[in-house]
Amino acid sequence: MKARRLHPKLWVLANPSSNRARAFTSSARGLGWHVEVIPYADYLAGLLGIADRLGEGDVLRIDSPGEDFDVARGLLKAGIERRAAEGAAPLSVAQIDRLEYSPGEMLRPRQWYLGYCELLSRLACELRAGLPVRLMAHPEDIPTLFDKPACQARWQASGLPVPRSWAGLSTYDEIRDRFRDCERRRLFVKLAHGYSAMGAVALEWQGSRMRAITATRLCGQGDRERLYMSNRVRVLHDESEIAALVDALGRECVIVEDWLPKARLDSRAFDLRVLVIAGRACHAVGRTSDSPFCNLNLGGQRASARQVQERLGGFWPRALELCERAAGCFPRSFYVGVDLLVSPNLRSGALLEANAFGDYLPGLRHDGLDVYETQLLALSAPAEPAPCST
Amino acid sequence: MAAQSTLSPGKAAALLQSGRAPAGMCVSGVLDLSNEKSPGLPPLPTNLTVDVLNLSGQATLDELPPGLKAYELVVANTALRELPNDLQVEFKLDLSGCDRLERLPRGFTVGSLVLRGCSAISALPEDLDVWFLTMTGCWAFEHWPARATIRGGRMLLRGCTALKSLPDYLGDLSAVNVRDCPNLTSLSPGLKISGWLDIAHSGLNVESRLPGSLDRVQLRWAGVDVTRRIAFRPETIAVEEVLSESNAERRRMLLDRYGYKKLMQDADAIVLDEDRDPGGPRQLLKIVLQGDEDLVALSCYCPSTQRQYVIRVPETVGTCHAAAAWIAGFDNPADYRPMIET
Amino acid sequence: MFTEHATEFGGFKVVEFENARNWRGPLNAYRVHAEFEDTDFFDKLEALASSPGARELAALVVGAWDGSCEGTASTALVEWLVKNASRLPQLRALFLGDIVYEECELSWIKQTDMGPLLAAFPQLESLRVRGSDGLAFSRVNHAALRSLIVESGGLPRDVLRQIFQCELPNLEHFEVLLGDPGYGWDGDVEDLQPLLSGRLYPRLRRLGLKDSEIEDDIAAAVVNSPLVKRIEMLDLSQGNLTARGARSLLSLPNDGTLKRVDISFHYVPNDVVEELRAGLPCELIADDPQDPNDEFRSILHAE
Repeated sequence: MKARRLHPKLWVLANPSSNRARAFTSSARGLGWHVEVIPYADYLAGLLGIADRLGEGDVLRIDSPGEDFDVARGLLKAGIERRAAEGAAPLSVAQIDRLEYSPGEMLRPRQWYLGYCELLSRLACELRAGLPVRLMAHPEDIPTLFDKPACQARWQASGLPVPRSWAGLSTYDEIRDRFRDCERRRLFVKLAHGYSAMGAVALEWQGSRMRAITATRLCGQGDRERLYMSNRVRVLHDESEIAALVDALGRECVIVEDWLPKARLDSRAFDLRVLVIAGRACHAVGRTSDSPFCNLNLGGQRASARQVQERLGGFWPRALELCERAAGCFPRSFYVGVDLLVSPNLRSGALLEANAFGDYLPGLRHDGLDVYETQLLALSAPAEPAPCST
Repeated sequence: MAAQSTLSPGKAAALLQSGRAPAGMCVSGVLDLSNEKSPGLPPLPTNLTVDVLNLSGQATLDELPPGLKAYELVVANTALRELPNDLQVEFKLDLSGCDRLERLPRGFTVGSLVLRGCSAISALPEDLDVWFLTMTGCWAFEHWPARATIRGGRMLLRGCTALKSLPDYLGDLSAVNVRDCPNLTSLSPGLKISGWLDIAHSGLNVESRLPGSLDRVQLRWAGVDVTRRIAFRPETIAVEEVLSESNAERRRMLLDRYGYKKLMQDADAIVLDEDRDPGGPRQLLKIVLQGDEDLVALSCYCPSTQRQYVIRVPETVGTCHAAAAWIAGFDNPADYRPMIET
Repeated sequence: MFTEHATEFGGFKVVEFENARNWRGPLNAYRVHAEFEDTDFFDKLEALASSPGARELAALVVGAWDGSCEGTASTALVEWLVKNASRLPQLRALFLGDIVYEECELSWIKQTDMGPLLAAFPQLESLRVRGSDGLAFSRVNHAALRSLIVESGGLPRDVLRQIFQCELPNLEHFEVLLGDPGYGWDGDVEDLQPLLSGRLYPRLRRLGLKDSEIEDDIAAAVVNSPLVKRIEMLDLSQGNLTARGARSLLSLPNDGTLKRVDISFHYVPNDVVEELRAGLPCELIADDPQDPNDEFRSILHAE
């Protein structure tokens, strides 16, 4: 084994001006780490490699590529080939160059995802060829963590509870047809590559009546169709409007799953976000909501771990254990954010989604430490570098 | 007669149909004997008490039984000429379309009295007591009682063309409609209206004809809120003001105040095309607007709404037919805003 | 839309009642509701009524009842309550249908006749009902009822008639959500005349005519009612009140007993709100302003 640097360096692949990157780097520097940020924009442009800059035993953190429109453009471009290979018509380079930033717009989530996978697979190749380093997020896990159907399939294969889902449904008509014999049905249609309420529609029908609860808006038609995330939940009753929205989401890949009832804290429904660091459930926060979406952007409110623990009573340790097992399905990932739904009778849970970048929980403390402090202290503990081969 | 127990509407209807409905029958709920529900009207017993009685459309009904008591009575479109003196209706009496009705009982008291289209009514009874009074289209109505209580609610007198004045005893009202009352040239001094007053095409065409007590009332013109300037000084409305109004109802009102023909003249409309459709003649008109794209509009008559419409179409449309087709396929009104509509 | 369950009712904190272990004595408002794959709903009601001291229970909140979210009316629930009324002789406050939109659309909730319920609980002082499909008030004379709240996506005018035909001589708080024509409201401001005439509720102190798409017309008529000279609270919130309706409120009497007018969730421009605030003889609550230029001006619970 080659000699390690005395003080390993901490590299962060991120968008330098993003809130996440700034929060993490300032935390890490405060703890005495030597931190260097590698901007996604530079890596995308092929200006630099990563692996050849890392010394043995260095730490690489891959952070969210969000909050930067140029990077989003670059990822969309990187996704052109893979999207075309799926038989879909991707946005072309020229079209991408003409895109303008529009707040809340969900720009071709599938193409974006495939572009990000492309970047990550390049990174994984580089890392395999380079020196052994420690990874805080693994480039070969992130694509699965970012793909709801794949992630849930992995959990299900490990015997973990997930909402029942139906593969192969991507249009409104297919969904209606699949359940045409059901007098009443409550389903979620969610973007495969979104998080929380982004691109999520809670669908319900009773006989001939129906409704869709969503914060996603569809604007324009045909080539001018755009999906937006708004900060206000709306109820749609018009079937053609609902169908148009579901179909537009379906074109970007969706998961169709049961809309399960949630436990309530006082008057509001909640779910649980648990951050599992180095295999241990650490920071937890309840996210209460007055809509089917426990999203803090949508008027959701935080409930402290203590409040949730009190409410869950005997189910609390079981909930944490479920989250640890869920994260354990991604053993190469140093941390994973896990969203858990708890049934109203507080007797069972269902894993909703994982989040590779689910550690942006400003102000949240566990044993007196914030998220980044906990991660960095766990890193300082002696550990073998994570293997990077598959 | 001994007190009757209260019957459900179903049982009551069956008894009525069998001809054995006893005098003094009490019915709870809605007894629907309208022509739609019950063609052929069974005889009604005397001293009937009922929550809601609907006899609308019973064209042969020319009198009501004595002693009738109801919370709500609907006798629209019947042949009633008068009402029994002992009729008691607590909340609402609907006499819409009773065009043979000549008089109401003296001292008649009800929450809401609907006399829409009662064209034989020339006078209301002495000591009438109502909150809501609807006399739309009572074109023979001319004489107010010397004494009555009318207060609180709405008084709708649209199309009471014979009406020349309002009485002095009106209480505070929530809304008054004197649209199409051309002979009404004054309102009672001290009249208070908490909501709106519609004066379209009435004799109240000069601001000074409104009493000082209505200084703050919301004026309306044909259902659209208007300012005093629009209501009383239409000559100050500019062509641009009409053309640039984005709200269709307001635009219709402005055009009404401005004058449709005058607008087409003042705005130098060019006739691009003319033809006929089932509604009558149509014209495709163009108005050249300074600093804006030209306004091309189809002028046509809609038989269903009985209104002349002028609907904006894209500039590229060249014929009436194409314009009508474009309008028919027009599914998202937000995409293109109609500019004029009358 | 209703988004949160009641946390307080009848003057008590709401406590979820799932089984006998949740009993904390009669001085709480217990909330019973059917839960997905859970204990039988009526077993929960049984357990509640069998709790020690249940005879002293003062307040009950019923959330989603068995099948309520699948279109089952409250008929069996009301029958249970009527049958077991003697086990709850101190029940003062009852909320039937604490159901939020996530559980069931307001207009999909199916209710039933409240007349037998009122008759079976002559001591009841407060009744709150959510949902108006199937709702009825067959005529009762109820001397104890002081508060009646009817929450609806669209209240049929015939239900208003039935309420007004009940004898509720001691009613102090009357509150209705009139709603939207798309969901059942088929009335007009004149349907409120029996109430506005002032002869119905001699002890009325708080009047709420809310969530109406004719809120302006209601404002214009209510100011002429003798009621506004003797009530303390006028609530015209959650509807589509505009500048016109707000100006109508300037005609409210200034020699009356009004302490507060609530127009929250309104389409009144700022300057008119200030005009009203300055002109009203009492406190004005005008929270949650909406865009006065909005052409559609939907009401709060329009769904």
